Parts: sequence; C-alpha cells; structure tokens
Amino acid sequence: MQKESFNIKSRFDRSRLTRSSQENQSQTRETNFVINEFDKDILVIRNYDDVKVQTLIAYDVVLLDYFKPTKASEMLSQIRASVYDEVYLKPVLISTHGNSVSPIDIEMADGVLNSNSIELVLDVVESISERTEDVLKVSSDFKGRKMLLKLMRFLYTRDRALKPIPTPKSHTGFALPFLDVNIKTEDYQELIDLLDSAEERGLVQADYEDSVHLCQNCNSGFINYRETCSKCDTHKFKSQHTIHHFVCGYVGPESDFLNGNNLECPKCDRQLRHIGVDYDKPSLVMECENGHIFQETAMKTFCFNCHTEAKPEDLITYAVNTYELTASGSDAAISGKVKEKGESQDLEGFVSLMVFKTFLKMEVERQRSTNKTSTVSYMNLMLCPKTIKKHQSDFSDFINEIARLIKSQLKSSEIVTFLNDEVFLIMSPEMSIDETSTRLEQIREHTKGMIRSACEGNKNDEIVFETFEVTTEEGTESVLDKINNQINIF
Amino acid sequence: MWDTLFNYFDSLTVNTFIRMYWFLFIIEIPRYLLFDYFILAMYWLRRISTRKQYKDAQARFWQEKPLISVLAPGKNEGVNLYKLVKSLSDQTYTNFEIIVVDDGSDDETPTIGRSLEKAGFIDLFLRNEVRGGKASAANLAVRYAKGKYILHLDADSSLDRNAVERIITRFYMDDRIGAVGGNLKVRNGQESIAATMQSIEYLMSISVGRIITDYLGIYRIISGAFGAFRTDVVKRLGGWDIGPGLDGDITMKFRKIGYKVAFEDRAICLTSVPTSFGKLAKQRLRWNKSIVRFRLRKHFDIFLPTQNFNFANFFSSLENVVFNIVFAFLWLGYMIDIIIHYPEMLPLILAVKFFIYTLINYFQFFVLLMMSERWRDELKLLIYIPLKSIYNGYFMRIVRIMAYIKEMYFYSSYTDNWNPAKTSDKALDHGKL
Repeated sequence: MQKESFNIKSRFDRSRLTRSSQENQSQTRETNFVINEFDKDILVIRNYDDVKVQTLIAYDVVLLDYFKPTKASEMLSQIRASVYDEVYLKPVLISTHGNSVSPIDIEMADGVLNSNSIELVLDVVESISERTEDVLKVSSDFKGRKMLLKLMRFLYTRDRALKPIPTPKSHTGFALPFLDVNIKTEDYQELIDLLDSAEERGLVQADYEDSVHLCQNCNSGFINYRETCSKCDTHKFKSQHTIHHFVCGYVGPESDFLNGNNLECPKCDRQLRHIGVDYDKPSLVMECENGHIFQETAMKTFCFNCHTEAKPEDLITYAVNTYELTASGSDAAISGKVKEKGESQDLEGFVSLMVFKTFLKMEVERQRSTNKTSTVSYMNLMLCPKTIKKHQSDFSDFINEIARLIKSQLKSSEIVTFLNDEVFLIMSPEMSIDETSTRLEQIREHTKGMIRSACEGNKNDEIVFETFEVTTEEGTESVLDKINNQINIF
Repeated sequence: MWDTLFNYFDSLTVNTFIRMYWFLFIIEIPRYLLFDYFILAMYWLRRISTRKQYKDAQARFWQEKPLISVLAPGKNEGVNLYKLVKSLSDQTYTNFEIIVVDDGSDDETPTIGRSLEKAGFIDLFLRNEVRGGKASAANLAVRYAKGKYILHLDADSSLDRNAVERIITRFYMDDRIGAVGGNLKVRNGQESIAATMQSIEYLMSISVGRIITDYLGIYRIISGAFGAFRTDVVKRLGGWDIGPGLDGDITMKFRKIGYKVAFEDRAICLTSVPTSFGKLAKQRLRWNKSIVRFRLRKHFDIFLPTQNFNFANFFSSLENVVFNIVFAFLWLGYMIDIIIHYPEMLPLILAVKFFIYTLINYFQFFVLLMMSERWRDELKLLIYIPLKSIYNGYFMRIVRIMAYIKEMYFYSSYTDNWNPAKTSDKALDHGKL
C-alpha cells in the first residue's frame, strides 16, 4: 500500500468530511473522512457524534479511530445491533493509535490496525465483502427469529466462530459480544434459548469452553460466595483460634488469654510464652453476630445484581460454548431458509403468511365499501424455559396443541396464521379494537389455564397480545409493520 | 474331705481363729457388711422421710426448667454418638444443649459428629485437630456451655429416660449442692466374664459405696461418665485439671470451695466397661494411681489444720486413703502372714474365706436386688456371685497395690499415655499437679 494512492472521496455529509494529509493531522483528530484504498471506500470515524449508523451503508469499510475507546465501542455496538443487513455485516476495523483495545471490541470488529491502511487485513475485508454480497442477493423468508438469522449471517460472512469473552462487563461474566449488543441483558434466557435451539437444529456446533454459575433470579454471573454461620446463615462472624494451656488444661478462645500483647491463662494466671511448649492452638472456632458457635461454615451466594441470597446448589449452571456455524447453518445464512421447529403451516385452519396478507388486502378493500372497522392482532406465546425443556421431545406436538386450542376459540370468520413457534397473527373482520381486545383477553386467560392444566405447562408461561386497527388509509403493510416493530418476526 | 473340715474346725481355738481370720472379721465384715448396710438402711429411711422435699424440689425444677449443657468429650467416640443422642432425645426433660468435643480423633468421628450437628441431633460439635487430653476437651465444651448446669457424659454412655431430670432435681433439694454424681450401671455386662464381674462390682460395691459416702457427707468422686455440675462453679474453677483422676480432683475442688457434693442413685446411666481383664487392670491401675496423686499429693492440704480445714473433707479423703491404701497393704501383710505361718492350712483358709464371702455376697446381692429398678435383669448375675470374692478380694486388691506402689515411687500416672505427654510433662514440671 502506498500513501500516495489515497484518494479522498466525498459522500454523505460532505461538509464534515475532510482530506487526509500529513499537514492537517492535528485538525482531523476530531473530523471524519473517507479514504479510498484498494478501490474501497473507507470511512475513518473520529468524531462519533457526527455519524448516523444508517449512513454507513454507503461505505465499503468502516475504520474506527480508537482515540476515544468508549465512543468507538459504542459505535461498534450500534453497527452490529443495526437491523439492516448492509450495516451490521459491514467490515469494521479498529485503528488503535497505540491504545489497547478491549477484547469485546476485538471480537466484534474485523481487524485491529495500527494505522489507517487496510493492507494487512485486505483479504479479510474482501472475503467479508464477497460473502456479504452473496447473502444480500437472497431475500430471506426465514421462518424463525430474525436474531438467529442475523447471527448466522454474521458468522458466515466472517467465517469464524462466536467466542465467549470473559469480562466483568458482561452480565454473566462471559460476553458473547455480537449477541450481547443485540439482546438486552434482562433477556439473557432468550439468548440461551436462541443458541440452544440453533444447536438443536444443527445450525451451529457448540464447543465447550467453560461453565458459569448464574443467579437463579436474574442470570447474573456476579455472585459473591459467602461463608455463613451454619445455624443462622449470617455472614457476620469472627473466627478465633482456641488455645490449650498444657499446665492447667484450660482451653478457650485466644481472646480469653490476651492481656495486652501477652498471653495469660485466665485459669492459672501463668504467662504463655512458647507455642508447642506451654500451649498449642488445637482448633478454630467461629462466633456469629447472633452468638452461635460453630467450626464449619455453610456456604451461601449473594447476587451483586439483584441481591438474591441462595445456596450454591440453587445457582443455575450453564455451559459456555464457542459456537461455530455448521454446513447447514452456512446454507441457512445464505439462503435465509431453514425448517423451523414447530412450524405449523400444515395445521388445519391456519393459513400461510402470504395467504394472510392476501386476506388482509381483501379486507382493506372491503372496508372501503362497507366502512366497517377490522383489526389485526398478534398473539405471542412466551413459554418459560422449564416448559420448553419439559416438552423438548414432543415440542412440535405441544405447540400444535396450543395452536389448535387458540384456533378453536376464534370465530370462523377470523383468519389466523401461525408464523413460528411463538406468534399467531389474527385478523378479525368487522370488529373494533375494544371488542377484539376483550375477546383475546378471554382467549389468553383460557389458553393459559389450559396450558397449565391440560398441557403440563407452567405458571410462568405467558401469552401477550396486541390489537391494531386496520385502516383503509394506511393499508395492509402499515399494520403489519407496526406489528413487526413489536415482535420483529417477519 | 468333710472329716478334714470337721477336724479343722474342731481343732480351732478362738485365738487361732482370730489369728487366721482377723482381716475378715475385724475389718471387712464390720466395715463392708455391718456398717454399710446399717447406713444403707438409714439412707432408705431418710429417703422416705424426705419424700415431700424431693417432690417440692422436683416441682421447683420443672417450674424453672433450666437449660442444661450436656457435654460429651472424647476421642474416637463417633460410633457411640448416635446411641448417646438417641437416649438423650428420649429424656423426660429435654431443655438441654448437647456439646460434643472431638479430641483429635483419627477415625470417622468428625464426619459423624458434623452430620449429627447438621441434622440437629447435636447442638455444637467442636473438634480439636490436635489431641489435648480429656480435661482439655471437656474444658473447651465448658467454655461454650450456656446452660445453668453441666451434665458431663462419656460418649459411650446412655441414660435412663428420667436420668437427666433426676440428677438435676437433686440440686433443688439443697442450694449448697454444687455437683451431683449419677449412678452407673454396666451396659455390656454380658460381653465377657470380666464385664459381668464389673456389673456385679458396679451394683454391689461402687453404687453402695457412693450411697454410704453420700449419706455421711463425704462423697468424693463424681464420675465423668455421668456427673452434673453447676456451670458457674465449673467456670469459676477453670474446668477440669489434667488427669488421670480428674473426676475425683474436680469433686475435691468443689468441696474445698464450700459446695456440697451429692450422689443420686435413682439417676441411672449405663456405661460400657472393659471386656478383658487386661484392659480392666489397666483402667484400675489408672484409677488407683489417682488416689495417691490427688489425695496424698495435690490435695494433701485437706489433712492439714489450716484455716480452710473442714472435717467432712478431711474424713472424705481419710476414708479413701485408709480403706483403699492402708487396708490394701494391711491385706497384703495379712496374706503374707498366713502364707508364712500357715502354709499347709492355706487352701483350707482360702476355701473357708471363699465360703463366708460368698454367703455375705449373696445376702448383699438380694438386699440390693430389692432396691434395684432393674432387678429382673440383674437377677441373671446370680450364678456369678461366688466369683465376686475372688474378683474383689484378690484381683482388685493386687491391682490396687501395684498402682499405689507405681505411683508412690515412680510417678507413673505422669507417663500414662491416657494423657498426651505434652500435658503430663508440664504437670510434672510444675509441682506434680
């Protein structure tokens, strides 16, 4: 790479982009600029406040100046969390300028450089770009969680595994950087479920790295292990050696003998001078704030995050794995197609999403003439992990049973599609939002009860729904977009 | 044979009869038959006359319901712990804490103790990693005892259902009582002839001896296997001193500071005894050495007319010294005299003595059976009674004499491995404590 081949190329927000040169390095410290190297437009970001993530689509490579590590990390996270394939798959490099880069950023970035030249990582960048093009050519009808497809595409384009990074910044102690920026901390169970289901379906292969013991209440890995009184569980106790005075046989804690700096026997007043000759220390005795005496402590855990106290055996143990795309996972990443568990298009009374959209269009047309309101609702099953594990072997049947249960409670005029394991879309013609909401509320309560009583579900299984009015002005896509904003599913 | 016997008795004059059997008729029968059983009768009369006081004391005890600290120190006693706590859990009186001290066991005792503590059978299990001896283990338990009274048990003991209630009630009979000894009986008497003989000994000699001394106010030894103490006094005394013989030592210390010491024969504890004569001899050597070590050395001041002189304490030690040490050597002299002067008559003399002793022993046995709460079980000892005269009259006396000589001349209790050398050495260094 030769410096003279650099070529400034203005793009978005031209006024804020400046030419890169030796002369104005000091001025460009706070300024973003574009360079062209190996026929690639590289946006060098130094002023993070000036960048909107969506605009990065326009560049081939993004180079983050690590002059301000926090800002650079935030930007990197925003890029990887973007909903646009063209953004989150963008090759992102880090120019260190002598600063050390956090392992999480290294994992999320595609390379770490000491300069603004991409020569050293050109192969990587080109490979990512080529694979990204392959992926983008195919429009996805992935019937599953978008997040999984996103992860697979990220891994596929990088041709690498998702590695856990031990870090105090992670809620669990191990960060899975790409997933962590996409899934909120409190949804850690979702992250685990996602990876488990991906592994179950053969899309990724898990390679064991370590185990973590997480808080049963909040999944935090920041656990304090406390020695406690075996009788009252308090962790406030003091321990003391006992002293055995050979001459008179008196035994008691060291404090009984302390007299200033000397040890004096409280029974015979002799001074204890020499351990092993005058006395020994045969045991250690603890006394807690409640006056209990004990020698063996119990062990309790305390979660720094939610302050839950528990026994060590109550902690949840998870395997921390490195996840590598399988061949099937790579295919799914490119094609965006994978057979989903619980996919239920075949179920009687359900229509496919395409047919549902057609019905919706027809309903919009009908409304124009009849002037009556209709609604579209989504109903999302949120099964708790216990239920999912319990029905691991017959999951399809279990889900289909719930689907049938819901369908049986709907009116024959209502159209319903089953998008995947979790979400139903229901179109209710000639019904107001209030009417539909009231009905769906009843259906939800009844279904939850049935899941618990008849389907061996759990009290924590939840069903959420929301109803939207279909208006002739906004059309079908608008109402579906609203729903998708809520559930991000299709 | 009968002719020989007839001729022998026919030839005896009063003088020769006394000459040959003086020890039996002048010392043993008056002391151990006439005197003891007279006192025993008095004791029973007193019990009847104080029945109301006992009931009142019992009522006061139940009203107060004091916390009792049950201490069981010992080494390698893990296997006995469950049996012990089981018998405690079945007591009529249950307001007690159980403190077990493991004195450096090298078996499974720590595991057993900890699991019993975790399961709530034991309130406090303390382990000394390094063995310090029985006194140090007991003293560690005392240090953490919270009860008003301490009940000291051997871990291989078990108690009658009402034993705790009965032994503690005795404190409520008289405020000046500082310590009460319980009545020991043998649990494993059927295991061997040595154990059987000890069953008879505990029933006929040890218990009776303690009843008599208690009645006379000179009771001098509260067995560590089952003894109750006022906790405040034990703490004031700093607990037990180094043994062997620490039971008699602490009893004497209670007496010295003015507390009464009592024996409660109705509080029964079953204890395990040595099952071979070798082990029994070893145990009794240790016990008897302590008479020399504590009565004649450590607490010799009892005999001196100091300002703390007390007649009861004086007679308590004097009785012990005279009837054990002096009489033992007197018996030795008597036997030597007979052997030297009547060698040809020796078998006959021994046979006559055996016959007379056996008659006396049967008499005593039946009297005691009438007093016993478990006479049906003890009736089985009937056929072994004839052996008692050999066991008590020869075996025990020889062991006793050996113990006295060893301790008097060789201080051998200080080299007994019953106690760790580090403590015995120190006791010897510091004025033979």
